[in-house]
Amino acid sequence: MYTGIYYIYIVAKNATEQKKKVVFQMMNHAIFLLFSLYLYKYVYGLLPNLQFKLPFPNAIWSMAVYFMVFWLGVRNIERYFRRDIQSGNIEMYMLRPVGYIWQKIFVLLGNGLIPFISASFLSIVISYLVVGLPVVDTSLLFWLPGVFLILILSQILTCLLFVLAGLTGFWLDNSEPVHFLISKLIMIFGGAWVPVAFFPKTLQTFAELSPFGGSMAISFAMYPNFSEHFPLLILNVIFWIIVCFILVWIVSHKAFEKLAING
Amino acid sequence: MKNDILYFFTQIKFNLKNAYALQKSFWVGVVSMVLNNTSFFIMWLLFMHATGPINGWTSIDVFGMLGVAMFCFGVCHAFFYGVRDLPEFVLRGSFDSVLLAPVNSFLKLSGSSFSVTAYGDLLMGLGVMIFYGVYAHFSLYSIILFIISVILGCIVFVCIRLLCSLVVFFIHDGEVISTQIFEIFLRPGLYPGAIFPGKLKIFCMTIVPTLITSAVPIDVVKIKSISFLIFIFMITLVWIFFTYFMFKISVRRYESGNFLR
Repeated sequence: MYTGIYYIYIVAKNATEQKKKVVFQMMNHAIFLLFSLYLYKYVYGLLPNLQFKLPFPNAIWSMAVYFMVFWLGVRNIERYFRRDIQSGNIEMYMLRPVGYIWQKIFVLLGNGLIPFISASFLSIVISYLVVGLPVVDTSLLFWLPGVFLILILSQILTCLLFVLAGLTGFWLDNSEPVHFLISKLIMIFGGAWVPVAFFPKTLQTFAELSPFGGSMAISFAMYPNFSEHFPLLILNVIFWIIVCFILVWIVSHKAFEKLAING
Repeated sequence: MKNDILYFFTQIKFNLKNAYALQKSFWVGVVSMVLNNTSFFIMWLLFMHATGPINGWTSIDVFGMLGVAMFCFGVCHAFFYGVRDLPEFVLRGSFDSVLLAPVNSFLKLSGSSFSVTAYGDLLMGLGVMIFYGVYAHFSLYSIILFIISVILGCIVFVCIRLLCSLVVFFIHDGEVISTQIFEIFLRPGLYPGAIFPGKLKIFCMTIVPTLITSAVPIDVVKIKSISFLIFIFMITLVWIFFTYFMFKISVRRYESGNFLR
């Protein structure tokens, strides 16, 4: 535990050296957020009936939190795997006392920590100042811890999904197509550009119950029926975490057995 | 000039041959990009399904718009990928080879690098645009307007890609910054043109000309207005001159082997 935190701290400390990078990342984030906000305001003005599908503040918050967790960069773990497998550097990491997958997770969290914190601050401030808090059917005292819990669990699920994608690189020459597939499914069913509430009912149910929607359950936590959906969201995410964890455990063992050291 | 262009096409030919040597990998790259792009179609079609036609735009127009966006992206990254890799060349000091070659620097730079996945964008974009033309029963006049506006879109895309890369001459370690600036340009072009309010639409056609690379060709065909096309042509000219001017200034700032800084 201590090793992990120290690992993350060191990587995050290194990452702070690239201040310009973070500044431009946050500029990008803020511009995109304001842009989406402006466009959706116009669309809601044109089509007032959309309010019945999802109120405007909730739509903005759901997209804001999606892009907030985007900056944590959990999806990049597949890229780390791919780079190590293709370059052969993986053997160097395998010799270290910390497990390979854990090393990559720590590096990833360390790299993403500063952009994530900055993006969270920007998302919350911009959304709050422009549309206020989302309309939810429960008190703030229950909603906030619920959102926090969903955030943690959904990011664990995202991480497991992309670890699985990365592990396919041991069999495929290039795991990029798998990464594309998973990240785009998450983009659609996580409500990145279009909130899932706009989808037909069957697709909404699929999105909520699939691992792809589950990995972005944080955006569903911004919907008005939070208290009604909270148990389902949590149970769904926990279910997929267990399934993916078992898969990662089996697949990683097979993958590391397959590894041929060049020497 | 003729020799420069010939050299550029030779570079592309050899890049393609190189990539096709690993045939399986080439097609995996192309197919993965097609898969990647399909998600945007699904997402916006679902959006249009929920909203119905907006400002005269239907699902099929959004379909066509995404086709144009992909085609412009594909052309830029399939034939001018070196422009995208410029920051890397500068940081590593390998830009010397571009400057010292007895051919046009821009053309030499453009063909010096290559992206297989861009051919996925290119082919898909082309296919979608043809489908859109057939589905919307384009007349010969519409086809000509559409082709001209798409060509203008591709030119603007290459200009912006180059301008974003030129950042590296002004900001040290500007590789990531260049990508971030490019994303700011790219993203609005992936939203349906119909949902842009008037002022924002003009802003995104002139100051950040992202809509020229996506929604404008659809608007040109829908309005069938020569004056609108001339307006877009003028904007494109401005961007070409601005890019040319910036390229000249930026290149002068290059220090050979400046990775030692």
